[in-house]
Amino acid sequence: MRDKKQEKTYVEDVSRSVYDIRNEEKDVYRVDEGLTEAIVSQISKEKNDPAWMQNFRLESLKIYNELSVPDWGPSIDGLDMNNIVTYVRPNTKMSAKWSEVPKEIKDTFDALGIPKAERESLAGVGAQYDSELVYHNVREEVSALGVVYTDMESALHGEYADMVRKHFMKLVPPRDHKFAALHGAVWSGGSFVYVPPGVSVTIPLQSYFRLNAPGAGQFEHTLIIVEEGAELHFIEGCSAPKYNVANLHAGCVELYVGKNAKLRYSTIENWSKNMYNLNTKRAKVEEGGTIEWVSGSFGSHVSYLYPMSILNGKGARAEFTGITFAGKGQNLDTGTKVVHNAPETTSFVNTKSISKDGGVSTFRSSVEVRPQAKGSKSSVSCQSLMLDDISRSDTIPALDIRTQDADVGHEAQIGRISDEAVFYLMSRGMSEEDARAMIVSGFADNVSKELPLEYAVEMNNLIRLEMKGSIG
Amino acid sequence: MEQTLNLTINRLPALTWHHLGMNQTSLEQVLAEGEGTLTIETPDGVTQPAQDDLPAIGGGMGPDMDTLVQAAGVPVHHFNVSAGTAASQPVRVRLTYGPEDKKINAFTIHAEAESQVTVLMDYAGEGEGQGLAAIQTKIYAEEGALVRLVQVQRLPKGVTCLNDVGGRCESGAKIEVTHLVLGGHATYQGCQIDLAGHDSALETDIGYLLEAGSKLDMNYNAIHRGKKTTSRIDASGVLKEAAFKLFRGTIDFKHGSAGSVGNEKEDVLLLDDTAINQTIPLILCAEEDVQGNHGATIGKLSEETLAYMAARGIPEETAYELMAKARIHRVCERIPDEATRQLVEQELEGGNDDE
Repeated sequence: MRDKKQEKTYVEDVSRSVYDIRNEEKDVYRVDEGLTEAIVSQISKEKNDPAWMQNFRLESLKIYNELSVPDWGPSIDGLDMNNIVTYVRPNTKMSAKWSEVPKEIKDTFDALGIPKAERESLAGVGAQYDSELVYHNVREEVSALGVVYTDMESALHGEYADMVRKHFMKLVPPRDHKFAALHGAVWSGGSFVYVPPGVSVTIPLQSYFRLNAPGAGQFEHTLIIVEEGAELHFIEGCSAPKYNVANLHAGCVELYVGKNAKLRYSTIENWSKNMYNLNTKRAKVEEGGTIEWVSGSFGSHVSYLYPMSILNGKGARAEFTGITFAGKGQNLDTGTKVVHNAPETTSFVNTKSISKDGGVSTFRSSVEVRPQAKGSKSSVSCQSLMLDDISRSDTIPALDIRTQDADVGHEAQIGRISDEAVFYLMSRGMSEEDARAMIVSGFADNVSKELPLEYAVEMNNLIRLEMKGSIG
Repeated sequence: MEQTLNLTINRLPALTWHHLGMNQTSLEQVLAEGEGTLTIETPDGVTQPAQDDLPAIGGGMGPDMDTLVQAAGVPVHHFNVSAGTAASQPVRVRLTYGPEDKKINAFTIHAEAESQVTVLMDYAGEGEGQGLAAIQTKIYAEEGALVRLVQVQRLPKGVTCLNDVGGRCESGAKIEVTHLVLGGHATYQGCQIDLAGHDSALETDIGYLLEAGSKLDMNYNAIHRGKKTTSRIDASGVLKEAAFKLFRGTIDFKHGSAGSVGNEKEDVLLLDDTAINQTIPLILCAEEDVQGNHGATIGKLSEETLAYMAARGIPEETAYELMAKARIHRVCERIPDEATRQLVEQELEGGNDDE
């Protein structure tokens, strides 16, 4: 009979290996550790920023120094900005051909399945390695529709420069919170997507963010504009190998969804468990438009992640479907925010969270229905599963309703896996571990059924990985 | 010399975004001098000792409310029910305030093992002043005891009310709290019950009718420490005419509270577009084998209800009035005293003649 403890170690070591590939840093450009005006200026110079962006960065740094760290979420005491390198550029230029990407980096993305996914199921891919994109490509037939999918640096300097300037950090201004200000000061990399009016991109685009350098930060900026009547599915993936020093991710996602447009933004986050994931995502939706967030949070040591939907036009709609799995050493504070700012807007929030092995999961949300949002509807449902008695699961949902003419419902449940369900599956020949893993996968079904098949499979693999060794 | 205090009250056990304005409430320059006018009726089986040593019990409004009581230097009125005694009748406490009174009263209710007592408190006043009515009640329910506390707030429109309740239940004990807020300008209310003993229980019913710019700021905490403890917090109310309501409700399952169940429900009817309704129901959980549930419905009457009423010849305005009163009646029915129920009914029909 195999020893369970031995199996647990074996499984974790092998199964995480895809994400734990570490490449030695060779011939990379990196700024000094810490956060100073000189470092911010150096990044600006390296990136050949236009003057407005240079000023924007420095102003953001000032705001960063003025603002306090949040006092309401998980501790980030282990994050010392004096030890974080905010810009690490691999020694390669962005290419539209995988064959031109340095072998070591390409091998990493191969192991993560990105080129394969691109061939089989994606309309375009952006691959970021540390602070810069190393690969960016979009299918010709998608480009022919007028769809722009490029890296932010190219967008900032090319024919869309004015559009970028008009929208950059307007939804998430640097004063929003301390780490939005940090992002404004040191951002690099990320993607720009523009979908012209009436164009429907039927297969998804994907950006994958890989942070290889120990002690580094990744601060990519994603700006997506989906014009009137257009449609897009954008997938974001992220991972990093585990190090003994803190890494930081403070990205920013700004989504503009036009009249009657539809955007689905899916994320499978699997950062390593030394990562502080302080990410900000926000969408503004115009009349009749729809934003759909699908969010799976599995990695990171600490997460603060609350994608926000501002329903700004009559009949605008938001859906948020999320799952958070907090295991050993993880404190994942996730959820969503919705602002109903126009009549007849609708929001639907459905989240699941799982806590195990001392992990802490917090669902945090706010739904605001403003006086002008007459005829609006909101439904928030959050369910939490506790897999042992050393973990923690908190639910902190806020509702602020300022019109009579609204229909707002909220429900929350916290509980455990039923012994009866486990016993039933075991009576059909399953081991207890497999039975519990199957129940947890079923619990997470709300998210997996919203993902393309390949990503649902990856998510279920992550759940199985997390559940291994959960018995005894 | 008059001494005012700045108070931080009704703080959430777990904070969230500050911009929402729900984490806590600050009150500046609060002054309370002496006791409000008080009448007390105690039945057989209930004594009023000069001293009654209770364990430390925190209130829902937080430690600043204790400071306010201490600063005012008012006597604490103790009600004690000896072990195995079921009080024959309720304790009746009536507090009345003049238009500009700024008063504070403090009480303890100590139900010894296997005893039972009901305490009815009625807050009323005269005139349209800017007074303050502050009340603090601490409850200690020993093994197997049952304490029912009913507090009806029907103060004049200008008055600010601070109403703080704290309690601790030992094994098998139960505390039932019924709160009705029908008057006053601003009411700040907190209730925290520590379910320390195994199989202890809390039932809380809150009803409110807020209008004409009035404000209700609440903080209810059910702390589950013992095994197989149960809590229920039901809040139901009506808002109109620029009224403001903030409901904080927390079910807190501490490590070791295996087998516990907590349920929280809120039902808010908004009668116009000027009211503001804020709700933040927390479930905090450090134990695997527990069940916590929360549900809230907020808004106007459903189309089905209005259609049902219309089919019976009831116009929409009357339907809203009926459904608003129904929410208070539902809470009123929980009051185990006919006279108090009648008092509430009369208040709903436009006031009482006995003031």
